[in-house]
Amino acid sequence: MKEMNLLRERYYVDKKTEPLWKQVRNHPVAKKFELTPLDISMMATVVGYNKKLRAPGTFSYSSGGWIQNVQQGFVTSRQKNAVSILIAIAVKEEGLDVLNKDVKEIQKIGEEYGNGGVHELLKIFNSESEEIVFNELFSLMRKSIK
Amino acid sequence: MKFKTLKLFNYRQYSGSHKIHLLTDSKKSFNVILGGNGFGKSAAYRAINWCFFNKEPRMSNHPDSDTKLNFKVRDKIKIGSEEEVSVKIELERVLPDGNKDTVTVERTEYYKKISDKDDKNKTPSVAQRLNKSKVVVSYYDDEGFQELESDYAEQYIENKIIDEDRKNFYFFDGEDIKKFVDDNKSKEIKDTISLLTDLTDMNQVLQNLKNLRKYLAKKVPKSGGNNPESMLLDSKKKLIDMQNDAKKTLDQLKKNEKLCEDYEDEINKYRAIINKNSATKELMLERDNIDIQIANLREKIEEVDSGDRKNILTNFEYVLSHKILENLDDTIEEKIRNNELPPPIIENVDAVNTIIDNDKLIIDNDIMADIKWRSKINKDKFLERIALFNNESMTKRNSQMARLAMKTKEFSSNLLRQETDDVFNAVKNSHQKRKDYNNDLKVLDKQRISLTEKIGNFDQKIYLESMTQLRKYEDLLTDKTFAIGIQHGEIGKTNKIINEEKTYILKKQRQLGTSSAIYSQLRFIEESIDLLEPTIEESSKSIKNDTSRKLDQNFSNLISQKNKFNASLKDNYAMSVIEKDNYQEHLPSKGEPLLSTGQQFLLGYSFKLAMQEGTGLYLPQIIDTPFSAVAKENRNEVVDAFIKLSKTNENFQYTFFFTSSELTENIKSKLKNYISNSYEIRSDDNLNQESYFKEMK
Repeated sequence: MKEMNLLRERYYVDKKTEPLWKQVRNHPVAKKFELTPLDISMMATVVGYNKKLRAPGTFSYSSGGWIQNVQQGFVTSRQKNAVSILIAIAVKEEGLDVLNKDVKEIQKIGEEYGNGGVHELLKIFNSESEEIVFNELFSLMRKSIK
Repeated sequence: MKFKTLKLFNYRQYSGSHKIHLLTDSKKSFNVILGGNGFGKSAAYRAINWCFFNKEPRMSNHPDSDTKLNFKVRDKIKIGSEEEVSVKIELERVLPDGNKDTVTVERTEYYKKISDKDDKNKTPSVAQRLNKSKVVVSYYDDEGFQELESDYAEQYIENKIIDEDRKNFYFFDGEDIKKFVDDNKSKEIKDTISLLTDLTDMNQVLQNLKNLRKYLAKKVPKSGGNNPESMLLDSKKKLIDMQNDAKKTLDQLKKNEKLCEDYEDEINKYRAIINKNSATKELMLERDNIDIQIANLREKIEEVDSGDRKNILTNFEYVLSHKILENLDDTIEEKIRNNELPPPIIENVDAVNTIIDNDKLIIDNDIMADIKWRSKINKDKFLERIALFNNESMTKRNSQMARLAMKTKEFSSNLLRQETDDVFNAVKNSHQKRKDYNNDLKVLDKQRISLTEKIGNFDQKIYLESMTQLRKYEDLLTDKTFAIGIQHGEIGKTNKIINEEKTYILKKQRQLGTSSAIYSQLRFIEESIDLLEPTIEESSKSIKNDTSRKLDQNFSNLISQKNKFNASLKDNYAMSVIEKDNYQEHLPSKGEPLLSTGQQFLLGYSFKLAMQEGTGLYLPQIIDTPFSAVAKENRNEVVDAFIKLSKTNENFQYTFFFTSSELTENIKSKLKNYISNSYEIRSDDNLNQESYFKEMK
């Protein structure tokens, strides 16, 4: 079923942090668990949001993964989640009226948190062992629901 | 018995009189006499032998070697003058009542000078022995001072002190021991044992009986004649032949039975190795099984980890954004509740129009109510307001905010249906599972370590070789058992014929009556031989076994590596030393012994010790150059063995004749606390003809 065009087609990243994103995307953990660019972008976004690491920038690199495939008219559940989270962040930050703004602006709020969170995510991925990586991720999950 | 003193007079290198004290106390059993080559060390050793047995061991064939008179003395005296050579030994003897007495043995020879030294032709002075050596033994007994001479003295030495045949058990040199072990001559060992046990004498009696039988047999009538005695003789010969054949078969049978015993021993040995290793094999299989279980558990842990990690990754962003998603949902929900989002639309305006026109509410053709509209209500205005309301609502509905909010709510509602607790519970379950698996893994690891320790060094090669050897010996045993069966049959058959022949001979003999005294004599001799032969054989076997046991005990006690070897005398009396762990023969019949030179010395000495135990006599022991055939690195072991041995019996006395290279500082320090007397032999002239003993501090 063809979905409506909600946000931008792709997740955009800052030119300055792109090398970090690349390191995360090419990290053995990402490869092993077949994480897509959007998975990584959303992980960085929620990490950034939870740690209040909003980092403005110029979001000109469309390497953060597909949020929706307008051409194919197909939106995956993963993409729906991404849309929900990006919009939820924007609403939480600026209220529901933010939804009247340009979608680019709405999405940018989440991307700014991703821009801040990618440093943390890379640090976690570069832990001594895979076990530590997942212990860190799980610890973040626990903290977030307290 | 112990040496008290040794006195040499004009004996070989020793000009004039020289006396040394040799009595040792119970805590210090050793005497040490040190001397360089040619100084007279071995001469002193020989002097002791000569004094007792009128023979000097290991003398060269030099024509002058029989002249014991010192060269210098020979030179000094005039032609025609006489001079004597003597060796005197005092012995301390422990009497049956525990008291001690002294026995003195002195042997003397007289020489007459017949020519002077000729420096030109370089010939030494010549002295001729005047008579046989004279020996005197003196001692005190209940009847007072006793002095025995000549044959009486020789007999006293042989019977009461030491006889020559047994002297090698007590007086010997290091080279002798090395040669004895190197040669490992079964005949020499057998003869030594026989000598000790008087079997030599019994064998001599047997031989005499056999000679007598041969002599009498020549006197009986010739065979082949027709007279009754000739026929009887032929029968007897036939009987002897048959008995010999039966004996051969019996010998063969015994050999085969012995072989069977050996094979059974081998079979048991290899079975033991196989059983031991089979048990190890079982343990290895058990360990393999544990390895499989460990691998399975590790795989499971990996699966749990992988599932757990996928679960974390899948739910990570959802859990972290759960609160803001709830916030979004609540915000939109509130707007919806307030009818702000999406704004309502009044539908079915035509139906309302109809109701107003008819003033009635009709549902399913039934009038549900009559409505009395107020006159002030303007129907058109009412409908216009509805249309306006609907237009505004539709505009709001089509706004970006409504579109995004409603769509996102749809997405987030789906997400929020998932409980975060489920995610955490799944992780918790995974952790518990991993913990359980890890506990199981620990138990298995412990079992594996324990099994590995039990398995130790399993040797596949030995296991397979043992299997091959076992099959070989089982085949050999089958063959020999079959052969024994046949031989039993043959012996039974032969014995039957022998009995028939004996009956015939007895019958014939009765017919002949007592006509032939020779036959009676022959019968008696044969019966005696029949009686004596197996007795000697049995005694010999029992003595050999006894000596073998003592040899093993002594060797095991003397060497530093206890219980490593099993020393024994083989069936042919040759010595055998088997390493217990690997059954390896260390004294192979061909090739060099695998024992160290020290162990060889101690093996030879263990045999001598077994012989000493056999005599039951504790005589002083003299060992000339004990280390001449022992490698330097093995000498400590030999010295330690002697020190250990000396502590076992206070009547032991050892006199070592050392060369200076043998008595190293190390050996000296080891022996130091156990030496009663020590002398160094010195010589002041170049020809070593004026040697003397100097007491060492």
